[in-house]
Amino acid sequence: MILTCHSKVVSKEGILLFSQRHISEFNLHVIPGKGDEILIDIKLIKDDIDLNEADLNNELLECEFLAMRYKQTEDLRKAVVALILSENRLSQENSHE
Amino acid sequence: MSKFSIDIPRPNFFKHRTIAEDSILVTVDSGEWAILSSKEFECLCHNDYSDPGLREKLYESHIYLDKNNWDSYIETMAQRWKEVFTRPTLHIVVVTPRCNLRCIYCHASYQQESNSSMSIETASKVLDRIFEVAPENFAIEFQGGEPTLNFETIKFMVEKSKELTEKYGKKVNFTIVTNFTSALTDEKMRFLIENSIDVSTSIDGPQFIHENNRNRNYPGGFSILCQKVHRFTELWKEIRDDEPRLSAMLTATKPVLAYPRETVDTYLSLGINDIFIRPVNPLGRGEQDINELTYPIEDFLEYWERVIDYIIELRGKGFSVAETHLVILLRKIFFRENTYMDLRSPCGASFGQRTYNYDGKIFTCDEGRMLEQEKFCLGTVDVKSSSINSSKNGIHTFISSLSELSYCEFCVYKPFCGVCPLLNYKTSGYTNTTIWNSRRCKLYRGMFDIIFRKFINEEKARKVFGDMIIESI
Repeated sequence: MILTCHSKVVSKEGILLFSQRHISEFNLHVIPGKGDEILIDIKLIKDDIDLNEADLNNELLECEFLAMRYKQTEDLRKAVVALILSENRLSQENSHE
Repeated sequence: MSKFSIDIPRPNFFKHRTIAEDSILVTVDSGEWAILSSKEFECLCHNDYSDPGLREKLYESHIYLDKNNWDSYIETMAQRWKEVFTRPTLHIVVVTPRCNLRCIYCHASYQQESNSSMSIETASKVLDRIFEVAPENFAIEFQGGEPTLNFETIKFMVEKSKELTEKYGKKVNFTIVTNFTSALTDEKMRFLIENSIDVSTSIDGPQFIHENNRNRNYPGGFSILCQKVHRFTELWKEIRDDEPRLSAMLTATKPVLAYPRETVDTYLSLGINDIFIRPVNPLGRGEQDINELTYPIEDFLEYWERVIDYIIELRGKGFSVAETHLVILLRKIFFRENTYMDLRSPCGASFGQRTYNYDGKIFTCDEGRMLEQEKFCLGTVDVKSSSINSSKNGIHTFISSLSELSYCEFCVYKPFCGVCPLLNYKTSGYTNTTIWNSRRCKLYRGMFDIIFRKFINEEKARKVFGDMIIESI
């Protein structure tokens, strides 16, 4: 199966997430198409998997959305970790060992 | 505001999933969540916060962050981490690998012929290791095989713990998992009751299923179990003033999936109101490719939902009954509780719990000792806990369980769920290959889907869920 999408709609991070999501079902290869087109060539790992093209296209867009959100909040997520650690909010009781 | 500058206001990193018609679940890493309509979700995606109702919903659940709720979000996240980055609160002690039953799915790989048991000398060292690392309140759980076959060691540990808790100012809660066979004499029951040791057993559903699973070498096993449960309750009432406490777990094999109502009825007939239902795991004898053990996880989910529906129906008629797996998940969703070792990120391996085997080896967790792999061995009771704490095996397992390392990071249920690196290892050969749509992933995604769908669509379910949560406090 080959999915067609556009590089202005789907990024490499989105495709990577999509491949991670389906890692147990298929391998995929990205092939440049015409102009902004990207072709995603899907090769099944097992024979008994039933794939629906429309569902996969929707999932690809969902993965793109998630990847985009993840990238956009990178600084926010790092700040959360840094703040928690720097302000020593995880202090524990002492060991008697 | 802290010294770290951050560009807010803006949306948090949120995940979403359509649960029911016009109902989209949105979660953030703190475990907070909201149900949005399709229109509200579209507004969120387009940064349109003109609707004050939506703005409040997003603000309260930290899906939208600004300078007014930023500190409370940090505090909520810190609290969440505190619950996992703690000292080991659960210590499982396998006092013997021997068992008098031959359950077809035994995850612990019972050993009938073994003469091995935990000696008193080893048990003493186990207690030293436990008290070196345990926090103020912790639990010791006796397991096997069948632990009551080495009752002298159990008695020693309980009595010795009394001295140690006084010396170190700590408090320990004991639990024992026992099969309620003839090995559990009146004398042993008295000891358990007098020393407030919580007792748990296994009941796999109606009699014919239970006996097929657990009593192939033990004729009349179910009748003996019933007699023992009855006797336990009698002794409890003789010795104590409070209500008898006994919990039980059901390991679902294929035959029981056709009997959800009968499952609950069997438990209630024995006076047990708390049922913990789980599918078979591919550990020990559970990985055998036999009819009873192989079924699609979707079939288990259908069975589980029918059990929940029946419990809701019974509670409407005044029966007090709950399903423990459901209660654990509800507490995670509504209390943001993050203490259940088997389902959190990072998991409890090595730093939240430890398992002390009868031979003195210490493993990352119960699954670690079931797999019996050196990869999950932290050391032995002959060395101080400081060496155990810095074990490379422990650290590796712990890090492998981080949801952030897999697709779980992008799953709407990430705040409530968790990775099991040992099951990963069992199924793939690698601890850090958590796979979307693996059996365990489908199991918990399915359970959360069921819970949220019922919460959204069914008023009776909402009420029962609320009651169960309150009762569990």
